[in-house]
Amino acid sequence: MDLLIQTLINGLILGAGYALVAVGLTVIFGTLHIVNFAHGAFFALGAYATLLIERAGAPYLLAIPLAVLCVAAIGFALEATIVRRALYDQGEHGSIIVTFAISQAIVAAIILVVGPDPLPVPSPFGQTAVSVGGFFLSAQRIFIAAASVAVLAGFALWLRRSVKGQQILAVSQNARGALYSGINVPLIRSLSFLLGIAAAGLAGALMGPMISAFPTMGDANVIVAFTVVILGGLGSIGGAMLGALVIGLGNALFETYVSVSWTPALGWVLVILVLLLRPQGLMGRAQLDRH
Amino acid sequence: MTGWAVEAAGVEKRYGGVTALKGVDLRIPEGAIHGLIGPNGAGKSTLFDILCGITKPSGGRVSVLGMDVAALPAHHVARRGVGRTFQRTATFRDSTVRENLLFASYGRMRHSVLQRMARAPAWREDMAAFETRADAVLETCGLAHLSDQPAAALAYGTQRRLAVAVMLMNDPKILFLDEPVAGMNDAETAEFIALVRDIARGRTIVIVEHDMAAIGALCSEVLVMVDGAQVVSDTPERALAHPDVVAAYLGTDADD
Amino acid sequence: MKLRAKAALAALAVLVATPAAQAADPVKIGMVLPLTGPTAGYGKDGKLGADMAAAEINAAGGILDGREIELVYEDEKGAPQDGVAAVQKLMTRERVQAIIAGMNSSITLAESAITKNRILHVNPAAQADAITAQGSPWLFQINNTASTNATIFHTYLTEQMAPKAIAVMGENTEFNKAVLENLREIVGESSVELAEIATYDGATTDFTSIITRLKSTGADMIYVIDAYPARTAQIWKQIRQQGGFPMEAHAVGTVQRSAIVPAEGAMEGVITADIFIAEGATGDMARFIDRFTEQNGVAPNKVSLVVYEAVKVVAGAMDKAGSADDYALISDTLRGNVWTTPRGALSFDDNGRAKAPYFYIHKVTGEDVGLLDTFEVE
Ligand SMILES: Nc1ncnc2c1ncn2[C@@H]1O[C@H](COP(=O)(O)OP(=O)(O)OP(=O)(O)O)[C@@H](O)[C@H]1O
Ligand SMILES: [Mg+2]
Repeated sequence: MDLLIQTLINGLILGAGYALVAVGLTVIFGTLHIVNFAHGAFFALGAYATLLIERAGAPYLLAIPLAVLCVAAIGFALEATIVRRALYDQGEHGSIIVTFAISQAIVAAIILVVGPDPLPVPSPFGQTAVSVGGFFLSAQRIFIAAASVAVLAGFALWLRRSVKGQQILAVSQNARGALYSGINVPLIRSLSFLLGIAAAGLAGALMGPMISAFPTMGDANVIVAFTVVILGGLGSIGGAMLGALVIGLGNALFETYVSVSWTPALGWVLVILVLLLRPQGLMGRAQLDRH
Repeated sequence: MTGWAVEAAGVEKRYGGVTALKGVDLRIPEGAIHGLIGPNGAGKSTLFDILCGITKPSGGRVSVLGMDVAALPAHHVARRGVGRTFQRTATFRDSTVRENLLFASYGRMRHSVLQRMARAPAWREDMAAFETRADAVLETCGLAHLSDQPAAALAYGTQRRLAVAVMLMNDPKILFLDEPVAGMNDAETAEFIALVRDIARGRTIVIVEHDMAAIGALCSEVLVMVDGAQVVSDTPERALAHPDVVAAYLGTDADD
Repeated sequence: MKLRAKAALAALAVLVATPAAQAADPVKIGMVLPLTGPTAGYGKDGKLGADMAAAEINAAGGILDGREIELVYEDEKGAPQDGVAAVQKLMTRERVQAIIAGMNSSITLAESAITKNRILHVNPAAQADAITAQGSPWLFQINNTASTNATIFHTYLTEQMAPKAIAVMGENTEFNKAVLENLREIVGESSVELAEIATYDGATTDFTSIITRLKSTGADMIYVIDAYPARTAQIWKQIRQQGGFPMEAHAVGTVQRSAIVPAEGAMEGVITADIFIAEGATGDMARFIDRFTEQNGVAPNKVSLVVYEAVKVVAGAMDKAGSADDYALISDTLRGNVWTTPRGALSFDDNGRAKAPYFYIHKVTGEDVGLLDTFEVE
């Protein structure tokens, strides 16, 4: 029983972290129809920015928002110079090549500037573990889960309540119709890209203290995020959150009770099952309206 | 005021090796309901895209409502009185009918983020104006009883009316309808023809349609296009009787 | 047309120039290291060692009557397919005279399939027995084999530390399978119990559930087998967060500062082992460490050392054999002589395996490892 409770807690906390990475991916896919293979690189940038800002003297909690701003600024520069020109309306094939190239360039830049060795990202929660009724909870993980849930809830509220948020929803449902409803679709796309990138950067800043900063740190997390996004339904924000929870809990239960070695396969098995039974994903639309 | 809603001359469009438009001339007087017909692949939708500013022409001049649409971003063209619906109907599927109309209204709202958060009078005025306009548009389009339904749940013919309603929210001076009655049954088509007549007052309407009965019932003049070039521009009866048009339709579009 | 004529002319020029220039032509050695990717830290450490060796050889007048050593680097990115591509490029395009390649065992195995019977290949660090067991006449290995290292370390764990039960976690790789096999054997001969072995996939991002599961077995020793620095740091942090184990050990030869530093103290006290330790070095080794530290501003680690030794051994053997491309002769020379390296006298057996003179048990202390025990390897 204790083992089960500890496992469920592990799974929920894990899922909250996955959700943050996955929501960024899905927002970008939903409005821009591009698969952002550079997501992991922006995740790494988030961790490195946090680390460098902390070295400059800022405390962790202040470094996080500053790091997110830095990543968003880099994302903005890339969006304005490369993504906007090369990708919008070019379909997914071009996007894979271009975003992959961006990701390689970012990783190479990190190695050049900071070096390849993993570096610790200091956090006041550090290695502290809280023991509640016999269950071990790492303080950093609780912080990650709390911050993810707060940010995602705020984001969901913003999507519902703000004009820009509503316009993001409109563009992700029907870009051409949005254009003829007088919505500035290029602006909304740029905004969505920035938000998606910022979410990746935030995830990196939050998870950095746990996994250390190293150039390819985003890879494994983004692979999980891809399964989450496909499971939830490409482009569906609610789906990404649900998918993250399913994969987080599924992985934790599977690792504890079945087999550790097969856990990564579990995500894909779930994806295949869902695609067979519900091709649009758990919460995806039955058919995407393209141009 | 020139009296012309659309003035296009020598419009060309090339996609790599494909030439979709080979120099089309078109003039549509203000207030007219104008038809645009031709077999599949004739370039009708491409011409629409150019007239709406979504696609930039490879050559020629295009003026819509006196605007040089080729030089303006599409959402500006849309905000200045140009509306269009699409051949493959595209509504905001996950949202309700009323939300669909709301998406189209943000461009006209003037309140700021803070006013919105504070529920300030400016916000309330904008929302009240929206509600009034939405009620009127829903009434016109026969959607009033469906206002809280998600768009995806509507019947196909109803979705096409919703697409028109969304456009009407911005009170366009010219409205382009791309195959609006395709896939509708006879009753739905008749209703839609009545709707178009109703909303035509005070605007120019341009319709691409394969349903010749609908074209005949609505249009004063049609332009027939074949293979990216115009063949004839005349009243529907005379245009359809033109030998080149008969040949083009019999040759390529027998099943339509 | 014009271009082709030019190319032909250039080829002619090379033909004419070659015999005259040969004496001064550098001897090119292809260096395949992970310069990017998850193990890029090893690549960086190795490159420092290689550059230092080449500089020393060239400063002393080069080899084969004044020919300099030129190192040509290629990135294997921590992936077998990139390692193979790197070796191929070095052999066909760069026309190097020897290949030094070998950090990760699966990558080295893939690379050695390309070099077999075609070029001299020295593997500085990869340990899997399979690499040198394939009977490749021109393949040599500087590091100990995994089974040599594992046997000493596993014996130490079971006999000296003597836990009641060991819980093991490690990445699911061919190399780790061999290590686990060795562990099962040695533990089987003792009274120690193997509580559980959890292997995970390389894409695993979180280890809390695995550690939760291992803790629930009640084992009093955790033994982690993982060679990736960042993951090693993450695993030990998560072990620490769940309260740790009374005894803690990490696989041989994989604990470097690049894992200890990001672990931020979570690895303190972890027992591991290697063929090298900076602490307490004397003689040649102390001088090597001083020179290295002075030139690079950081102390050398095992990776820097074995890559340094690999370059030195390759150059020394070519010089002694009097040839840079008669691989049969160079290989015989390698087997027939004893090579002096910072660690002491190194000799290669029929399989091309060198045996380290000493084996050290380490304990993580602060930001590095400290010396706990020394064994002489017979
Ligand atoms: N983006 C594009 N890239 C390449 N070719 C295109 C593109 N858009 C349209 N075309 C080509 O231009 C030609 C005209 O297409 P268009 O869609 O305008 O025809 P249409 O008259 O609307 O046909 P339909 O009645 O089937 O809707 C076709 O040959 C089409 O294949
Ligand atoms: Mg069309």
